[in-house]
Formats: sequence, structure tokens, C-alpha cells
Amino acid sequence: MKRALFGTIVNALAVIAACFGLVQYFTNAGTTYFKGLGTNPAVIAATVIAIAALVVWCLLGEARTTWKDILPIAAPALLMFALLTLLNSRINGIAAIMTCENNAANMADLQSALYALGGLGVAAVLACLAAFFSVKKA
Amino acid sequence: MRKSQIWRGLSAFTAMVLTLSVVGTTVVSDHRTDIDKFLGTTSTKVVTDEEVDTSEMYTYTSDYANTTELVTAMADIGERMSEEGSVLLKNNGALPLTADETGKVSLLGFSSYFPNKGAILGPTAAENHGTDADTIDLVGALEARGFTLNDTLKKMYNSDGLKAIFKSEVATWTGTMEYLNLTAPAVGGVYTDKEPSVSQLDSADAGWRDSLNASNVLILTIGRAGSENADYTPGEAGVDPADGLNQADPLGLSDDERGLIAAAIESKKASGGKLIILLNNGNPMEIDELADNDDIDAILHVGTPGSFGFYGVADILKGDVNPSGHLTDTYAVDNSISPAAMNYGDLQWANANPATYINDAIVEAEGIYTGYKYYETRYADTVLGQGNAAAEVGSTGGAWSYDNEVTYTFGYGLSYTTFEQKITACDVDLGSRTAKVTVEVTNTGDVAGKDAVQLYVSVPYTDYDREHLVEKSAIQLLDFGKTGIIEPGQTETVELTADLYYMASWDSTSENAAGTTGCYILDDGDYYFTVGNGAHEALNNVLAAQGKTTADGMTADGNAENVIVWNLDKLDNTTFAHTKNGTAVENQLADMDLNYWMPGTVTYLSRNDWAATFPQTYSGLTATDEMLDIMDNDVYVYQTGGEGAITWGAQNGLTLANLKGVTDMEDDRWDLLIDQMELSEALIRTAFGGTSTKSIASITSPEAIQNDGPTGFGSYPIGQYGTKDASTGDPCVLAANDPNAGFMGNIMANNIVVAQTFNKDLAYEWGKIVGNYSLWSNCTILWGISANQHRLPYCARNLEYYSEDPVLSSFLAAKQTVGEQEYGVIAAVKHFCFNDTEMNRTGVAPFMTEQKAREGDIRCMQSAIEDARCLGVMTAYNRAGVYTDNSHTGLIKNILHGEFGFYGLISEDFIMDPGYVCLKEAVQNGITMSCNTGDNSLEAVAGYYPNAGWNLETVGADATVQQALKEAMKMQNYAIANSNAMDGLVASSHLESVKTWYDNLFTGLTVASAILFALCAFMLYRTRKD
Repeated sequence: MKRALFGTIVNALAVIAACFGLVQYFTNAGTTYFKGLGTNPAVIAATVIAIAALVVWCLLGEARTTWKDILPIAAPALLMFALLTLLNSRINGIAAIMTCENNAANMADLQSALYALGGLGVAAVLACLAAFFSVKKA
Repeated sequence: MRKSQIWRGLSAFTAMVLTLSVVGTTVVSDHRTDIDKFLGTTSTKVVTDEEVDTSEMYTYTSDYANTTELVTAMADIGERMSEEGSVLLKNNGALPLTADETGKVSLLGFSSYFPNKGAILGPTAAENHGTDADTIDLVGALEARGFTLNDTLKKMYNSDGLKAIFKSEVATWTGTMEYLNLTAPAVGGVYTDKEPSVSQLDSADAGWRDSLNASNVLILTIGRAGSENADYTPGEAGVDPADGLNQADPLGLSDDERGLIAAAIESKKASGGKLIILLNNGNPMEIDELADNDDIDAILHVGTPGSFGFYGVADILKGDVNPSGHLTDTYAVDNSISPAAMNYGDLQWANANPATYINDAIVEAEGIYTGYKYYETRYADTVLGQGNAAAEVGSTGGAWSYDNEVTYTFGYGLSYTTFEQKITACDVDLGSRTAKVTVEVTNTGDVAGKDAVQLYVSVPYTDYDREHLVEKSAIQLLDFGKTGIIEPGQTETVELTADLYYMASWDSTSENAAGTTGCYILDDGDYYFTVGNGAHEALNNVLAAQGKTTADGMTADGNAENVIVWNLDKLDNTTFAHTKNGTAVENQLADMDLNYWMPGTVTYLSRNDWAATFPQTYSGLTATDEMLDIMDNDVYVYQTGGEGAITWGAQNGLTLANLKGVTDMEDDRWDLLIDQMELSEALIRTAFGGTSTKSIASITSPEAIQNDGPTGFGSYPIGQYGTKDASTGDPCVLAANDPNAGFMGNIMANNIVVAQTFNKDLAYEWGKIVGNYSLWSNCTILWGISANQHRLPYCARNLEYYSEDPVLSSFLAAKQTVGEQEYGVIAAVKHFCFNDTEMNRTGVAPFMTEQKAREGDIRCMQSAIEDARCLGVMTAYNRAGVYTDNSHTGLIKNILHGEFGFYGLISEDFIMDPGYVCLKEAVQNGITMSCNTGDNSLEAVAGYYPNAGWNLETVGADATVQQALKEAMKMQNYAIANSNAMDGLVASSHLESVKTWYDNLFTGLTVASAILFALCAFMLYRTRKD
């Protein structure tokens, strides 16, 4: 019971972290500095699917059938995919702001990118951790 | 925990790792160049058949047998640059110090102990340690030269208590960085005084004052830091209001600095000592109160002297070397009231739009009157009684008077001896567009030394000019030279061949050879050629020749005999109607005048009436719809129907090495070579220039490594790319465990110090040493010829550039370029053009007259491009008027390429916004690459530039853009073919991909995680089944 509760909490935290990362990504894509890069459907899709998988898994409860196991297995992989895809699109900007374009406005724009990366990273780790536990009493 | 949960968790983990390795491989590929640079790995290699004759494989050879010789030479020239580039501004005989005096020196001011050797960002100074030529600071240099320093002060300034007071904190993305030396304010920020107050010194060590009695030669350092991406704000608005230190300007003194100086004066008076001020700054400070203070015995401007310059400073203080530097900028009493300062800072459009980088409009209403050209011309007009020059506007108080406004003029500098200069001949020949000038320099003092010859000209200002709005400086530098060491009583003759183009003025209304309007003109009238210790002395000579004396308001009588007058009987608009490559000039920058778009908006400063035209501040301007249409940064509309019109992918059997060293751009093989390229390659290479020009397989074009910056190769140490394998045939091979493998090349003083030498030979020599470093480090491209004009003192990046004067900037830039390119460096001039501020530099729209543009910033870089034939240019973040700099056809295509004949590699600056890069417009103007990085794939290009249409379908249908792409690739590879990047290649060489250790790591990780994932998933399945 305790383990199931723990798994549910970790899973919920993963969902929250992923949602946070997604919101920060949207925020970042709207900033002056990064708006030109637009939004990447792959990042959004992977994150949304991962969140949905984690939620559905939690609602369905502990798996007795193998197909349900796909949900907690796929979620961290999808979140990792979103994280790295987002990172790839932000590296040039981070490098520029670290050096030639370090000013208050750009630093503020960068902050949401770092939050998004952090949120997705934390979500991936938590989702992976949750996969080791039940999400509610079977 | 059940077994199924364990296997599920492990499956999730291995799936995540698998994703990490697979997607991570893509990330790595997209940023391979930078990862290789960081890790010191390489992903491509040149392969040459061993049976091929390799005798001509290496074109360039170093002057040095090993890195020890190289770095020793670098240290030597760093020292000599400061010996000749430090400027003695004031000296009542206190300097040089006697041997006895060097034994009792007290260093005051925290900048004495933690000086700015370079900028915080940009023209930085390397900290090399553990090499054969280690970086030195002021304390180290003085001690190395035998000075004995006050130990009490040394300990006090190194105490934690004082460090906590003068440390600066700079916010970065990773947190806060702490500096013990001065820092410049962030863009839009304020200057905070860091000098500890006298009471704080008392608290730190109550005995510090007493310690001065025994060490009563007081050397007190004050300064202001410089940096890229930083700016000072004029006036009190630029000073931290929390300071409360009676500081009227960030470049003026604070009460803490005044207090320290006062304490030093009190002490030296009591002990019979002397007080010497060192200025450790790039931006001209407001130091009139120091100049006027008779208790200050000497002032020496040392600038930011780089890694070795303090040795030179010590040599001057000690008298081993006689100072011969002269100022590159005017030191005004109050910088904030200059005409240029009226329009500087964050002057936002009323209809600003961050989405398209429509932010600031800077109206450079001062026109050509930058620096001394303002102060000296206005002074001349006060003497001549014309143009309401004595009006109060722009003065520190009351009627405008030169003595109240200028502390030290451009070109001023003292020596330990005295010199007399006589201009003995001036042979003006419009046919050759030159003036041959002879100047005799006699050492009339007691100490041997060098002297700078500054040739000035005063051109006529006529009714025609008034009618056609052509402005003329009353005095301008035309050429310069430096003597050797002249012994007392001896004379050296200096011959100069001045390029008369540099005294021609742009007249936007003149007829021209192109049948349009706009041409360089020489007015009819008298031209006065003279010399002087600075612009003011030269102008006084001219005024004397015009019959003026102190009775007319001159600050001192001039020497009319030191003037040669040449008369032109009628206005000449033909001599300079064509540039050196035969291109007819015409107006190209009319749209940079705001009045072009918004008629009647701007009044430009004119000497015709200083009072009525003195600039107002233009802020809150509203851009018209027509302007906004351009400022959305999407000007060109792709054409269609051009499929197959341009040849790509031909099989002509050439490699770039076939054209190694071929300087004739008309050679047919260039077109044949570029025909071999695929359109996709050209699209990728222009889109992703990044930190190197990537290799191009179809023509075997090698990767050429790019480096910043203005103080030498500062991106990578010698050992990063230096050759370590002697079997390669490379003449520059690092020794095993080379002690200088970690040596960074950005050792030179800032360009202001370089320019203050007024020594073309020294600039050339520095260029050669940079070239040698290039050979040892295998780095080819150097964004190092930084030559933007100092529009006004507040741009914190000024120390990266030479001067407020275009002639001084241009000729030194040219000499350095020649030196570098003799060793195969792609010497790159920057920033072409108008990088006048660091405020909102992506998007800022500078507006100015075409005369200002051509005679100011453009002219600063012209000689390096036109005469020295630099192979590289970096453009600018900013706009040119409403167009992005890269989109401005008149500036880039018609002036840079057309008039100046530039042919080579042009990179955009570090513009990250894909919309502002303006690929399709930039490439058509001759830009050869952006500064972004990405994978060698069109997918990566599409990902980075989602709206640029930079793909096979769109560009493939536009024959015009394709042709521009081919020309861009030809120019870029022309530069590479004529550089040391081709060393090690012959025609039969080819490029091969190399798997690096990190590639293997990712491959291994992918395989291992895939296997483990399969295993875990299988075990999960089995567990569930059971």
C-alpha cells in the first residue's frame, strides 16, 4: 500500500514536472529572443503523449496485462526525447547569451528555456522511477 | 516490490537511455564542430596518397623554430607595444624615476593590484601561466624591473576586507561571477564606484598612511573597464544613484577617487615625494581636475595593456624607454554634452516591435563632427568668428570656449625629451592622388627617443559646401609615421606618401561619373598641410598661417612657417569619382538619412551655424508603414521558374587544392570548381557558418577554424589544433609535452594602445606574429581587425577599436592585415559597419548622412579592405538605417564589394534569430555565411530556419538566389584557397570522416541500451506471463 502510494505520488510529480516543462516551453517560444525558432511539434507531441500515458496508467491502476506496462515505459523515453530535442534547438541561443548577448532581457528569456529543460528532465527521471512502483493498490 | 515492477522499471530506464543515446547522437552531430573544439577531437581528416609529391604541400613557414621562440616574441612585442603606446599626458619632471626612487614606490588604488589587462568580453587578455611567457600584472612587472614596492599597501589591498569592497559581481546564466578588477556596466546598467574610500582604507590598515613616508613615490592607478556587450550611459543617469559620491558621469571621478588622490597629495607633500597617476582605461575619462592639479606630478595613460604591456609601462616609469605614444581620442571636460552624446542610449521607436527587432533608432545628428573634428572645428570657428561657434549650446557653461571644453586633444602626447618637427616639402599630385610630404624631426632635448609625425590637412569650407550641405572639419589627420630612436641633437627625415582620397569629402548632390548623383569632391581653395603634437597644435599652425593670433582668441600662437599651402583653383569632382578598382561612385546610403523616410525630421550639425543646428535628442520616433515593411526583415520575394538554370553537381575533376594560391578571381577554374558543388551544400554552408567554415566534400574544401579576436587568437590555445605528428610534414610541430601547448594568443594590448603608438611598422610586426601563431595553432580565420570608429566615449567596447579618427584606424588595420596574411591568416575586418553601440545591437537602427557614413565608420576599415586586401569581413548586428546591415545592398554589395573590391569570406556577426539573419537577402549582397551552427543536413537547416525557405524546392526555383549562392561559395573558397587552411593539402587529397571517441561512446551506448532494453522487456513479458 505504501509503495503504491509512493508510486502514485512520484507519478503525479512526474506529470506536474512535465506540465511545468511544457508550459515553460510555450513561454519560452514566445519570448523575444527565441520566438524566431517557433514551436517544435515533436517536443509538444512527445510531452503531451508522455503526460497522457502517465495519467492513463495511473487511472488504470497496476498492470496485470503486459500492454499496460508500455505506458510507464514509454513515458520517460518520450520525455527524454522532448528534452533533447528542445535542448538541441536552444544550444546556440544559450551559447550566445552566455557570451556576446548577455543582458537582462536575454537572461530573462533564457530563464524559461532552462526551466523547460529542467522540468522535462526532472519529469523523465521521476517517470522512470515511478515505473518501478505500483500506482495504486491492485 | 514485485519482479514485474523491477523489470518494468528497468525497461523504462533502458528505454530512456536508448532514447538518450539515439537522440543524443543527433544533438552531437548538430554541434559537432563545437564539441570537437571543446574536446580537442576531430571528425574529418585529410587523406593524401603517399606516392604524391608533397613538396609543395605546405605554403607557409614560421619565423620561429619552436613555440618557445614564438611566445617569447609575443611577450616582446606586447612589451614594446606598451612602451610606444602608453601616453604621457602630464609631467613636471617627476618622470622618469631615478634608481633611488624605484626603490621606494607605493602603489595606490585597487587597480594597481588588480588592473584591467584587457576587456571582460571581447578583447580580453590571456592569463597564461606555466608557459615560457607568462602573463604579468603591474606589481609583477615593476618587481621584475627592480622596483621595491610598499609591502604594507600590498598586503592591505590583498586583504579580504578590501577585496569585499572592490569586487564586482556580474550576473551570468550560471550565476554570479566575481571580479576583483573593474567591470563595465551591463547594457542599460549603471556604473558603481568600487574604489575604497580613505576611511575604508583606514579601517583596513590604520598604518597605511604612515607607510607612505618611507615609500614616497606614489603611483596611483584609476581606471574604467571596457567590454563587448557593455555600455556606459552619459551623465548622472549612468552612475549608480546609491553611490552618492558626487560623480557627474560614469567616466568622471567619484569622491572616493578624489579622496584617495587628496590623501596621496597630502602624504607626498609631507614626505617630499611625488605623485604619478596611471590611467588604466579604454574609454576617455573626464580628468580635467587632474590635469589642472599642480600637485599631481605626472599622468601616464597605459590603457589596458594586455598580457605583457605592464613590462613596457615599467620601462617608461624607470626611464629605460622614452614614451612616444599619442592619444587616439579626445579627452573632453564633459563627454555628455558632445553633439554625439545627444543621441546615445536606449532611444526606442514609438512603434517598437520586439518580434522583428524594431527597438532603437539612433540619429547620428552630429554628422562628421566626431571627436576632435567637433572640438577643433568649433574652436577654429570661434577664432574665425563664424557659424555662431561661441554660442553657449554644448558648452560646460557660458560662451563656448575650447579651453573650457577640452583637456587633451587627439594626437597629444609628451616625451622625456623635446622634438621639433618641420614640414619641408609637400608635393601634391592629383594625377597619382597622392601628396609626397617630407618632415624633418629634430631631437632638441637631452634624451634619445622616438617621435610620431602627424600630418594634418585643413581643407576649405566654401559657400558651395554651405549650399550643398557638405561639412568640413577644420583639421584632419591625413597620414602619420614614426621615427626611429633619435639621439639628442640629431635629425631624422620622415617621408610620407599621403593618399589624398582621405581628405576628399562626400557630396551627395554632386554629379558623378555614373551619371547619377553623389561623389567625392575637393573644393576650390587653399589646402593647409602641417604637422603638430596633436590636432590642436596643428590647427593652431593653420590658423597662424591664416593670420590669426591669440588676440583672435587662439589658445596659443601657432607656427605659420610649419604650414605648406596648396591651392586648387576649381572644385574637383572627377579625381575621386572612381575608386581604386575603377568603380564609379554614387550615392549608396541615401536611405540611411532619416529625412529620406521622414522629410524634415532631422537637423544635422553644421559648422555653418553651430547654435541653430546643434543636435536635439530624437527619441520616440514613429516609423512609417514603408519603413516597417522593411524592418520586418523580409524584403526579398522568391522568384520561380529557375529550376535547372544553374549548374550544380558537375563532374569537373577539380579540388580546391588545384586553386591553391590562385589570386586571380577571373580564373575560369573557379567557376568549374564551384559547379561541382551541390545546391544542398551551398545552402548548408551559408546557413551554418558557425565557429568554422565546415568542410565541403565535393570540392575537398577543408574546415577552417574561426577565432576571436582583437588582441590575438583567443579562442583556442596552441595545442588545441597544433600539429603533434612530425610525420605530417608540417613545419610547425609541437614538441612532446610542449610547455606552450596551453598558451593562448590573445596577449596584445587593446587596439587603443596599438593605435597610440602611431607606428605602422609595429602594427605590421604584430600582424606577422599573429600570423606565426596561426601556423603553430592551425587556426586560420581571425576576427581580429576591429576598426569601428569611436563615435563617442561611452561605448564600453571602444577599447576593441582603434580610434575616433578614421585615418589612424584604417592605416593601422591595413598594416596588421598585411602582416597576418603573409602567413596565410584570413584576416577579418569587423564590424562592417556602424556597430556604434552595444545597446540593442540586434535591431538598432543608426541613421546618418552618407557623408558621415563614408567619412566615418566605413573609412575606418577601408584601407584594410581596399589596399591590404583582407580576405575576411564580419558584418554587424545592427541595421544600416531601416535595413538589417546584411540586407543593405548599397553598403554590402555596392560599397564593400563594388567600390572596395572585397573578395573573400564574409560572416554575419553572432546573430541567433533566424529571421534577422535574412539569408536570402544577405547572400545576394555577398554574405557567405551566417554564424549559426548545425548538422550537415538540409533538415537541420529547415529546423533552424523554419520560415526562410532555405531549401531545395524554394531556392532551387530561384535562379537569382542560386547564382548568388554560387558567387558566395566562390568567394568563401577563394579566401580559403589563399590561406594556410590549405597547408597539408594537394590536388589529390580528399577528406574522410573520422569516428571520434564520443561517436564510439554513443554507438556503444545505443547498442548496449537496445540489448538491455530488449532483455528487460522480454523478462517483463515472461514475468507477466507467469
